[in-house]
Amino acid sequence: MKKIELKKITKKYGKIAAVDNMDLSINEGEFLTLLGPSGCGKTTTLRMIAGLEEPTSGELFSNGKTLFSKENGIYIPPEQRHLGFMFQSYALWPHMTVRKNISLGLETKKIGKEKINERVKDVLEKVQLTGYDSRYPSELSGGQQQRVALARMIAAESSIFLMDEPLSNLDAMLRVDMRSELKRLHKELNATSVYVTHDQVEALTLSDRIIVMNNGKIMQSATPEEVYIKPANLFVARFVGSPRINLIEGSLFSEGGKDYFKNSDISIPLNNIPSGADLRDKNIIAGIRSEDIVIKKKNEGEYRIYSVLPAGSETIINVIKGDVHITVKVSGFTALAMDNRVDLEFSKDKISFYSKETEELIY
Amino acid sequence: MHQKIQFYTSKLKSKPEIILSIIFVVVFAFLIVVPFAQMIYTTLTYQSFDLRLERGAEEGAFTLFHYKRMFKSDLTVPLFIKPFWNSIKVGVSVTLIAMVIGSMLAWLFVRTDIPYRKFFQTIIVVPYMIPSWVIALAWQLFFQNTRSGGHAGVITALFGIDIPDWLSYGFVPIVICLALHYYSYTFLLISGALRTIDSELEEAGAIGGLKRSQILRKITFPLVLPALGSSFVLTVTRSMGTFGTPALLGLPVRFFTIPTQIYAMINARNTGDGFVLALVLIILAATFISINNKIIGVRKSFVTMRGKGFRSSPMKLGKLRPVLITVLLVFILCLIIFPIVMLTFSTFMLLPDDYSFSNLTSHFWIGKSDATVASGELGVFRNRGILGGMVNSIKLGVIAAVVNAFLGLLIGYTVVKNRGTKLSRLIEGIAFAPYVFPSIAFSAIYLSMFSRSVGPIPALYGTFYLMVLIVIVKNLPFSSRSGISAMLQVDKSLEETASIQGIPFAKRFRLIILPLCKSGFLSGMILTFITAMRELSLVILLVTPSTRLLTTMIFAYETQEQEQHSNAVTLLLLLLIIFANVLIRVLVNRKSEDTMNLG
Amino acid sequence: MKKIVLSLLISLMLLPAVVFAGGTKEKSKEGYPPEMDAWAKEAKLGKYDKKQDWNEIIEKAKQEGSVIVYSSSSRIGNAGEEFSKIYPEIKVESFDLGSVKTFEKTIQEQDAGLYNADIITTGGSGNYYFELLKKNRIVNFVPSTHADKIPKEFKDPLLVRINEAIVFMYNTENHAAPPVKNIWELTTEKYRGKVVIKNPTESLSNLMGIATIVQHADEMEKAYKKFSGENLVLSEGVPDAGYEWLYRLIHNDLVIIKSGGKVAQASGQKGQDNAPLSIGPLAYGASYNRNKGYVNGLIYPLEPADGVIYPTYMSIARQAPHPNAAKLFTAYLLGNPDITRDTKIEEPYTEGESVKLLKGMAPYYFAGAMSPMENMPVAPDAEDWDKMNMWTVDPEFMWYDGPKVQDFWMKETAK
Repeated sequence: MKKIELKKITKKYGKIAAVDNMDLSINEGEFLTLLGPSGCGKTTTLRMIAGLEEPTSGELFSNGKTLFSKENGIYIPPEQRHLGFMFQSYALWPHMTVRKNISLGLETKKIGKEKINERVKDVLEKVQLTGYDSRYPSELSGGQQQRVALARMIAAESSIFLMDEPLSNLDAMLRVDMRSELKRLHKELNATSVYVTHDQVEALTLSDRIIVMNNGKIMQSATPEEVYIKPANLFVARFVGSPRINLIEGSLFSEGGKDYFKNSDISIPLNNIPSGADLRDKNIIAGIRSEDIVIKKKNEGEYRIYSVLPAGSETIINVIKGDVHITVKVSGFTALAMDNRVDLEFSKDKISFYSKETEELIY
Repeated sequence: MHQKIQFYTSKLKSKPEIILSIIFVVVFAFLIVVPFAQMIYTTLTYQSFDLRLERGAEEGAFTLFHYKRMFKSDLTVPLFIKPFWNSIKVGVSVTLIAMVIGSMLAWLFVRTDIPYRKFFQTIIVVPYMIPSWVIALAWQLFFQNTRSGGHAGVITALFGIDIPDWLSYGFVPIVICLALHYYSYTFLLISGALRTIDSELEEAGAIGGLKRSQILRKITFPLVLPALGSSFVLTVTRSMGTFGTPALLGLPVRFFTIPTQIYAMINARNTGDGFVLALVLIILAATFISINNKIIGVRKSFVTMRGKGFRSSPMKLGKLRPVLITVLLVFILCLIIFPIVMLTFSTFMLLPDDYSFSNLTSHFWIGKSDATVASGELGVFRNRGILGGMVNSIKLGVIAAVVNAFLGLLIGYTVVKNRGTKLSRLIEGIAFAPYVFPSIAFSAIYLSMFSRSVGPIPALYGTFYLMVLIVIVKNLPFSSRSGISAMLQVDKSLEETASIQGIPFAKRFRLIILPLCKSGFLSGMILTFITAMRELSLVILLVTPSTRLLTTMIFAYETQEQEQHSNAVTLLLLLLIIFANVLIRVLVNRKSEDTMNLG
Repeated sequence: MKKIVLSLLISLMLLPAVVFAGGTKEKSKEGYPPEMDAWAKEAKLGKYDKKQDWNEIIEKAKQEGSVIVYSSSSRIGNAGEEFSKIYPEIKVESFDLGSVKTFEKTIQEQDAGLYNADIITTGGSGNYYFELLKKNRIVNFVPSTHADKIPKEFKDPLLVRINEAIVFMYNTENHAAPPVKNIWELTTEKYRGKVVIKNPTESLSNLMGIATIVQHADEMEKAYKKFSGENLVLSEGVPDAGYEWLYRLIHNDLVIIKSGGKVAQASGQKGQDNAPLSIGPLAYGASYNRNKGYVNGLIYPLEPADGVIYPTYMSIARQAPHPNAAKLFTAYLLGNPDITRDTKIEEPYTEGESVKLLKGMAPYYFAGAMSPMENMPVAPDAEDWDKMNMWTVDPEFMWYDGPKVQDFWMKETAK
């Protein structure tokens, strides 16, 4: 069932479209992430769903109910949309205690004092902040503040959670912890979640589905796996994955019944190019992730090692041949050193090809 | 069509800032724009007064009569050009002196390790709380000579020195008296700006090998230059429009300024000419402000950038410390403490120029009616008139303070929420417009506008509420500025998160915005309270016996030669303002420097 | 700046909207407008004021319960308190507005269709005659109880409540006798910077004073001849001898002072070596001699006149809500009609027995305020009044030439 639906939603600031003619459906219980660089329109999209921004045109539905429609003259204000929203800044009211921060919204719902107390206790327990209810936000650490914001969102018991980069203000360690907390919570509460981030790791780890956005447009909408393995276009390919995907310009051709990807510096043997597609002799770009390349024939070969960057669990190795730079990831540490010479083997079935002209995935 | 209406109404309901904008635009149009238009209209038509000069003219008919009189007749030089230059001379001189004193004090208190900072600073801003013309009264007390007959001032009485006219009346004393008031104004503006400068910038200079004076000149000064520019413009604009001091000290030597001319014309029911001169002042002020904005940029010039988390380490004064402290003490003693003591002392003197011990009396404070003293006027504490005036003043101050603080915040909310739109700029602009209106002309317009009922508003002429209204409107520039800067500091997500949780606007405002803006709100309140309590030129045309204020009573007593009463009421007013100020500070328990933040 | 320009533009666009503020003015000069006519008939005022039945007036006044006075004198309030002791049913509300604002308020309110005031009493002859009486904003009311004691000139066309005067004063400590005999002496080098005057742009009374001197150009010219023996030579651009005197006075370093009280102090304060002469209201000069121990003396006889008398009128406002209370209070303010010129009045004048004798004149029982009634006793120190030869303000001259005199004053003082 479609929980949230955006139809031809456009948001313009002056002449610039922050969100451009966007269609999007979000299923019930889904954890959907809007991923993209800053200014891509992801936060605007989220704020439009919440009602904090008003679309310039288009329609917006939730639970089959119209939230916004310029055509039909409908606008439901945020107060009446019954959503949970978590801000990047947490937006905790500094002059109120943790308890008051959580209960204030509940009080307007007229659900009885006892019930409110119970719920506050519940949610604080859920976010592991039992006993903090009379503290003020300034007396809490960043992580704790974040969890109060989370608790406040949960307490309203709405079936939709909107989160705007909620983890970006935390330090790296806490961020990793909170990811699993969020994932756990999502499973427990089964609320439809829309999550905005520019952090691709966060998107990959948390989501059921990722919407990659750029310049107000959807670049790809797919599962994390698909986004990672088969980026729909060069933008997604570049944006997702760390280290960056290797993109090599060249063209396809056949020789002796075998297919190759080749440019003036390198030549990569391939499986079969799909028939029917007339790809030969055209400028295309091959994309291959660093973990899909294996280093062979150490101390001899066509590639020179440019840099070696050990990071504990893995080591990133930059190799160079002619004008082509290629990043390779190996697990653990390596004995290889700068300026060693090596040879590479590419996993043939994991290479994606993009049109240089349209930047779209060819296959 | 129907759907469209429905769409906009449902949108409106959920967007308080839009509703507020509409309300503000309508209300401001009525309270600010219409009076202004009325003023222009008056200058372009024959008024009943003019019919006496131009027989056969028809009242209300279009004419350039007033403009011709003011700008192209034998009246032009005496009525317009000379007062105009006098105003400019006074405004610029006052501002320059005030800025030198104000910025030196600001630097001393904000940037150096001067001791007893809080104590000094509290005393330093006392002149801000006194109406500027009260300083002129004090001047007369000391420097009056026998030109206007009667008894001479303290200096002549004590030392037998004859004071020359130029020191008794006219340009020099007007400038000195106004500068002694306005330095507190520039001090507050500049110290606000200085506080926002990260002292690391200065320290970097010190590490780079610059001397202290070089740091001041090459780093500090350029950094506060925008603030200096705006304080200059704001002070010039205000001091040019001042009425009380030039009226008191200028008349005996016929030193007229534009505001005193406006007052004389309006008093003679010659409003057409008066408003032409008022327009001149408005245009002049608007020009100054626009030049300033062009040079410095609007944002920097008006929004107070409050220092947050900046490091500010005081500069060591070293050997200069005792010298500067002495200078400061002498300054405070001569210019603040001594005049106040003399003012107090004079209220205990039976005859105004007899400084002997036997002449002391408590009659003016607690005396019963005695026909041989002060025309039988009762002592201050027995005097129902004075106590009534005190109640009126406090009422005016409190109502205006509360209303202005709320309005300021609501305007701030509206402007900040609509930021970037034309509507937002329009509201911000109109709310600032009363700043350039000369008080006298503004009140003359209100007087005629509200002498009849307008729509649902009953005729307010002669009522207390007209004074409340005009004081509120005239203070809008300050309260809206402080409201805007307070709102700018509140992250918008704090309110958004509340609205998402279904909390309605009224509750959001009360529980979230108001508490978060508390400090700006309170400082706005104190500021309005002070300005309302010391207001004279705005209300002098509007008071009636039942709505007298302490300030107008001081003026009236002064006019009736009841000096002791006038001085006693002045003292009362001063004590009230200081008391209210201290009270609020204690209640809020905040640092003095933040409370006095000017918008 | 954009903002300001924008608001300017908007206000210009709104201009037509404020034109309505001009309001509709009643132009009728003969006869009353209908509502006023109905009111006058009901209240038996104006042209319906045929026979005054004072028992009926008192009865109705008590029912009306209050009376609202717009005046330029704070002493009306004191009289009102005494009045309410006699008629506790009637509350007196007096607004001490000063002359300019009394006109302003009355006119503005009536133009807006508000008829709040019952009694208007103020000076400003030109305005009073032309703006109030001629435009039917008031009706003249002379209580029949007092009418035969008041000379015609003080009740027709307008009832005078008191007469006051602008006079010339000197310090009796400095001079045994009046130091000048001719008004032109004030323009001589001897009195350079030594004459003080109350600012005429701030008070109608002093404007009336100087305007009336200007008006008598012929007498002024003759006086000059008497003074110097020569014919007067007018300065450039000055139209006549009246203006010439004002011109020379102003340029003789005339000292302008804000208030009547200060003028009285300037010339009258004791202990001065060389006090200036002063031109100002007699009321202050005389009463401050008494209250403050000043030593002002009146300069008279003075060629060509010893001063200028200006009346304070009293009338019932158009469509007054409490017409009978207004009649009753008018009668009270005029003072006791049964008193005689030689009735002895004891101090304090404003309390007890004296108030019973003088009634509404009690607060005005001082030199400088003269009742129009011939039977009123004269206050101590006011005996001079009858001996003085003073000009009286001419409403018509004030109305049409007052602004010119004022222009002249403002122009010359600012030079």
